[in-house]
Amino acid sequence: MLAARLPKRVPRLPPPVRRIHSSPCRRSDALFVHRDTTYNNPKIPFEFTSENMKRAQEIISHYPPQYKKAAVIPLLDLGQRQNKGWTSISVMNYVAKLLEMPPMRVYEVATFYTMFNREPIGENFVQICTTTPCMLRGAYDIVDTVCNHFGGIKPGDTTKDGKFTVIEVECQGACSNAPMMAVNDDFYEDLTAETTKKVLEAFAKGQKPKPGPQSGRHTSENSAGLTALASKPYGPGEFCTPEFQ
Amino acid sequence: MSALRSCQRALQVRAVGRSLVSARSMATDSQSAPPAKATDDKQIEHAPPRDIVAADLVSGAPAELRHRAVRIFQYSRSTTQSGDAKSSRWRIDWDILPGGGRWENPLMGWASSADYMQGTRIGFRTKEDAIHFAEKQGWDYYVQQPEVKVRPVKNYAENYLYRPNKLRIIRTK
Amino acid sequence: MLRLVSASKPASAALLIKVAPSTSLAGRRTFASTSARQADITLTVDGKEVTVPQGSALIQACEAAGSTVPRFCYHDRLAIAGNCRMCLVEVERSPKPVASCAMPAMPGAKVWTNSPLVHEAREGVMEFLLANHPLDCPICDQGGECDLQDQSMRYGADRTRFHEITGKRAVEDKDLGPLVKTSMNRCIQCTRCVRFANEVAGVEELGTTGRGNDMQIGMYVEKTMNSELSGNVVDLCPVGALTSKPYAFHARPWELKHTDSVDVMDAVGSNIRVDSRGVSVMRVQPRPNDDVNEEWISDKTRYAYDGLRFQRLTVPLIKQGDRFVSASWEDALAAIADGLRASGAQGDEIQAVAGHLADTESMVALKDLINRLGSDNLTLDSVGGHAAPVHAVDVRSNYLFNATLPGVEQADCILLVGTNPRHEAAVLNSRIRKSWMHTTLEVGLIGERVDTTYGYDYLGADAKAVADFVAGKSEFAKKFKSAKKPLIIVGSAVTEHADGAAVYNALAKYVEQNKSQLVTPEWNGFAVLQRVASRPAAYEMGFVPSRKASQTKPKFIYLLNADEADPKSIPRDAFVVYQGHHGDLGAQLADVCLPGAAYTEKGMTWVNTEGRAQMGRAAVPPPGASREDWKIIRALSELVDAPLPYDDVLSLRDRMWEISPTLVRYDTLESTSVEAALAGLKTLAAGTANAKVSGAPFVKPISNFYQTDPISRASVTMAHCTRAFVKGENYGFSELSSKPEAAYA
Repeated sequence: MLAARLPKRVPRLPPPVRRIHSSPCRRSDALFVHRDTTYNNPKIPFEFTSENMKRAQEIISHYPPQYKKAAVIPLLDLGQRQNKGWTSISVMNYVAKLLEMPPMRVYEVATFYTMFNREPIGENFVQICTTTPCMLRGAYDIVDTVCNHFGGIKPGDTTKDGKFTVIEVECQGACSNAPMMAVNDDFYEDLTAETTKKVLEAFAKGQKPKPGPQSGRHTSENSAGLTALASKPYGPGEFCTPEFQ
Repeated sequence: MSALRSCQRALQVRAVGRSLVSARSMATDSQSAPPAKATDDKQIEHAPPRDIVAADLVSGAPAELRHRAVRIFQYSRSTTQSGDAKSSRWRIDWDILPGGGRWENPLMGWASSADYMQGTRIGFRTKEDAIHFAEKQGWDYYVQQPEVKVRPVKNYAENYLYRPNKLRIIRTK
Repeated sequence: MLRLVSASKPASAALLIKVAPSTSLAGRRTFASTSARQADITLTVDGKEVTVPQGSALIQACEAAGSTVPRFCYHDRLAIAGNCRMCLVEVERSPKPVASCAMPAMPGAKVWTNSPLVHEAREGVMEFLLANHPLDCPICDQGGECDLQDQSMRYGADRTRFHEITGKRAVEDKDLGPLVKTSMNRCIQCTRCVRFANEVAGVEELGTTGRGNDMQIGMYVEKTMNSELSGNVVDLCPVGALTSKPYAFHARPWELKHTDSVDVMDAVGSNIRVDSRGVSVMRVQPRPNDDVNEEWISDKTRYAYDGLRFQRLTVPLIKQGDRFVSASWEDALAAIADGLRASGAQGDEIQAVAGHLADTESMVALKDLINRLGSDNLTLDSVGGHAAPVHAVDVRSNYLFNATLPGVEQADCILLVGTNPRHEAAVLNSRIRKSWMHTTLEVGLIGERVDTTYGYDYLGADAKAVADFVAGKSEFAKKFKSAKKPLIIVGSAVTEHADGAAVYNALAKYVEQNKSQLVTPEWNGFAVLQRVASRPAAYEMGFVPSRKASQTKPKFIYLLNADEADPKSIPRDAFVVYQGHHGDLGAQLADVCLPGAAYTEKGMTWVNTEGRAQMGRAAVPPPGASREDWKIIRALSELVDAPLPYDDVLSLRDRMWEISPTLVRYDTLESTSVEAALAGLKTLAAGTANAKVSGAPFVKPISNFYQTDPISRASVTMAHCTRAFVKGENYGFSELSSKPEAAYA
C-alpha cells in the first residue's frame, strides 16, 4: 500500500477515493470507511490513562448498568483528547470494549458526529465559523487570512510543521461576537485580520492568548458603549422619604 | 351447446377424475383449519355443492391430459418485493413432463419444449372454483396449502422500551 | 415486545384472518386474532372499518383493510425504523401526513391512504429518494422485481428538479463476501439489511456510517458478512444495492419460471421457490411460510444450486476394470441383476443404504424391493447407520422435533444437547435468537462450544454434563426445572455418538420425571433436531436394520444417494450399486452407477424434522438419461424378479399411506398424544437402560456448513464460501490488517 511507504507522521493523506465534491473534503467526514494505515490501524494499542479511566468510570456510573452504552459520546471525547485530538480506530475499539457494545455501534457514533476527527490533526485545531452571522461579519476574510498566514493551505489542511489544522465549521454559537474561530477548546471572537494573526502567532510560539473577544470588548456588550442604563444605578435608600433612609 | 346439455343430463356423475383429495386426503389444508374458521363460516356463505359434469368429453382436450396431475395453488408473495398483488387468485398449473419435455437448442441455446401445457396456467377467484374446474375436466389435482401467515403486532415504541436486565441486542437505526 | 398473535397455540392456528367483505357488514374486514389476550381496536381506513389488536402499527391496520401502503424500510419481520417516509398516510385531524409504520393504530381513527395529500407527500418523498438514485435499471439485477422501480412508476416524476454540478452521490461499493454483491450508489438507506443483520442473523458488524446525505451502509472496517443467513439481505433490499453475486447478470426476473418446492439441504424443509429458465435452475428464493422458515433460508439453500450443474451423472455407468463405461439403461439394470446373482447375496447380505438426499418415494420403493428380496438390511448413511438407532423408530415422538419450529418461540428455557442449530438448521437458529432477544429465554448448551448468535450457559461437553444436568447440579438446571415451557433439543449427532444411548436414557427419564412441564397436551418439550433431509422419512417408514441384519456382512450393496459412506465399511468383494445424481464419493465405490434426479428435478415428498410432509416439485427435467429415483428402482425390480406393485407415483403414494398416513398428509403436523409420547419415552428408557458411558465429548457434526452434501460439494459458490468464511483465507483485503504491526505499537 502507498501508505506504508510514507513517513509515520503524515500531515494529510489524500483520500483514496476520487474527489467528487467541488469543495475540498473536510477532515472529519472525508471518508466513511476505515482504511488501515501505518498511523491508524487496530493493532496500535490504546488505553485510557489511569486518570482518564477514573473519569470514564465516573461517566459510566451516570447510567444504568445495562445502558452503559449511553456513555459512548463522552468516552469517545475523552479518548480523542487523550489521543492527540483525534479518534483512531483503536480508540473506538477500546471504547466499544469498555462499554461492551459491538464496535460497529461505536463506529456509527464516531462517524456521525463531525467533531470526532478520524484523521490526525495538528497540535492546534483551528475551526473557523462561516455560518451566516459570521459570514456577514467577514468570516471568509478570516479564512483567507488564516490560510495565507499558514502559507496558502486550504481549509481542511494541516500546516507542514504539523502545528495547525484549519477547517471551516458551522455555527459555534458565538454569533454575537462574529466573526469567530475556535482554537482547540477556546473561542477567539470579534476577529479582524490583525487580531487573527496575533492569535495564531501566539499559538505558534506555544503561548495561549486570552480567549474571548479580541476587540477589547468584555463579552458581547455593545461595542459602541452603553446606550441605555448608562448612569450609575442608585443604591438602596436613595430617593426615599427620610423616614426610610 | 345442446350436445353439452345432453351430456350434462347423461353424465350426472360425481368425481370423474381420480381426486387426490379422497379419503386419504393428499392435501390437508382443510385439516389444519384454524379454530377461527367458525367466525369465517358465519360471514361467508359457502356455495352450494355443485354437480360435476364431465366436460372433457366435449372439450376436445387431448386424453393425455387426464394422466397428468395438476396443482391448485396460490402464488406465494415474492420475498424480493413488498407487494402481494398476485397472491389472491387461485391457479391451476401442470407439473413439467419428466424426461424430454424440455431441451435447449444446441446452436443458439434457446429453450424449447414438447410440453404444450408448460406455459399454461388458469386463474380462478376461489379454490372451490379451481377444484370444480379440475374435477369437471377429470384431472387429478393437488391442492397446495396457501402461505401460512402469522403477523406479530408491531410497534415503533418497542425500540425505546426500557429493559431492566442485561441488553441482548444493541439496537441501531 | 415482539409476540405472536396467539401465544398459546401453534402458529398455524393463529392466522390473522382476512375475511372477505360480505354484504351484511358492508365491506368490513377483520384482522382478528384467535386469542382474546389483547384488546382489539376499531378504526376506519379508506372508509372501511377494520379491527386490529391494540398496539398494532397503523400500516398493519391499513394492510388488514386491504389498502396497500407503499414502503421501503418497514418489514413485517424486522423492527420498525421509520426512516424511508414512503408510507405516509393522512389521518383525520392530523395537520401533516403521518408515517404509518411508526404510528400506532388508534381506536376510532379515520385514515386515508389514497387522498391527494397522501399522493403529494409520497411524490415528494420519492423525489428525494430518486435525487441520488442512479438511473441504471437496465443494468441492475433488481430490475423487474424492484420496489423502488414499481413505486416510482406511481409516485415518481419523469424528470428531476435536481441539477447539481457534482451529479449524484457516489458511494464506494463494499465487499461483503462471495454471496452478496453491493452497488452502494443505489442504496436508499432503508437500513433493512442493517436491522436484519443485527436482529435476525446476529451479525453486529453491519451498520451505518456517516450522516445525512453521505450516510453509507457498511462495516466501516474491511470485513465480510459472515453469516449463514446473509443471502436474505438480497431479498430484503428494496432496491438493487444488495444483489446476489452468483446470480449477477445471469437472468431477469420475468424470464424465470417459478416452481414452489422444498429445500433438502437440511431437515428443516424450508419452503423455496426454484426459479428456472429453460433447463437450468437460475436461483433459489425463499417462499414465506410462518410454520417453517418464516421468510428466510440459509445460504446453502439459496446458493448451492450451481452444484446441480456440475459433477452430474447423466448416463448409467458400468465399471469395467478401473474405469466407468457408459451404458444403456437396459444394460445397466441387467448388469445389476447379474451382479446380484453373481455375488450370491442371500437374505440379509443384500444391503440398502439410504443417503442424505434420498426422497421418500424412492426410499419406500427401495425398502419394498429389498424386503421382497428377503433382506432386512436397511441402513442409513451415517455414523452408526448400520445398526438400529438408539431411539428406535417405533414411536414418532422419539425422533421428531415435537415442539414444532414455531413452537420454539414459546419455549422459555432451551437446552441444546450435542447440536449446533446454527449449522444444522440455520432457520431454526434464527427463531431461537428471535425468542432470546425478545423474551427472557435462557439457553443451555451441552456439546462443543459454538457461536450460536445468542448467549448460552455452557454446561459441558460430554455425557457427564447431561448426567449433571439431570441431577440438577447447575444453576441452569434449576432454572430449567422451574420453567413453564422448557425445551430439550437433542442433536442428531447424539444418536451417532458412542454415548448416545446413555444420553437418551438420561434425558428420557428426565422428561418422564418432569412430564408436567415437558409433556403436556399443549407442549412437548422433547425435540430431536435432525439435520439430514431424508432421515425423518427414513425413520417414519422404518428404514432401519433388524438386529440380525445389522450383524451380517453384505455382499450386495445398494447405495441410494449415499455419499457419506465410509469406504472401509464396504467389503471389497461386494457388488455395489450407486444411484444418485452426483459423481461424489458413493459413485466412486460403485460397480454400477444409475443416474437419478436431484431435488429440483422431481416432484417428491420430503419429511422435515417436525415430521411435516411436504411436496417438492420438479422445476427442470433431469439431465441426460437420468430418471426419477423411484422409477429406477421400479424398473430394477422387474429384472431381479421382485416386481413392485406400483406403476405410477399415485399408487406409490397409496403404498406410503399404508406404511404411514403422515407421509402423504402434506403440509400438516400430527402431534403425538401425551400417552403415546410418554410410552415412547418409557420404551426409549427401557431400551437404553444398560448403556455405558465412554465420556467422549460431543463434537459438532458439521464442521463446514457450506459443504455438507453432494450438491453443495459440487457448487462453486459454496467452495468460495468455504474459502472465505470457513478457512478464513485472505479475501482480497489489505495486507496490513493481517501483518503484525508491532513496529507501530
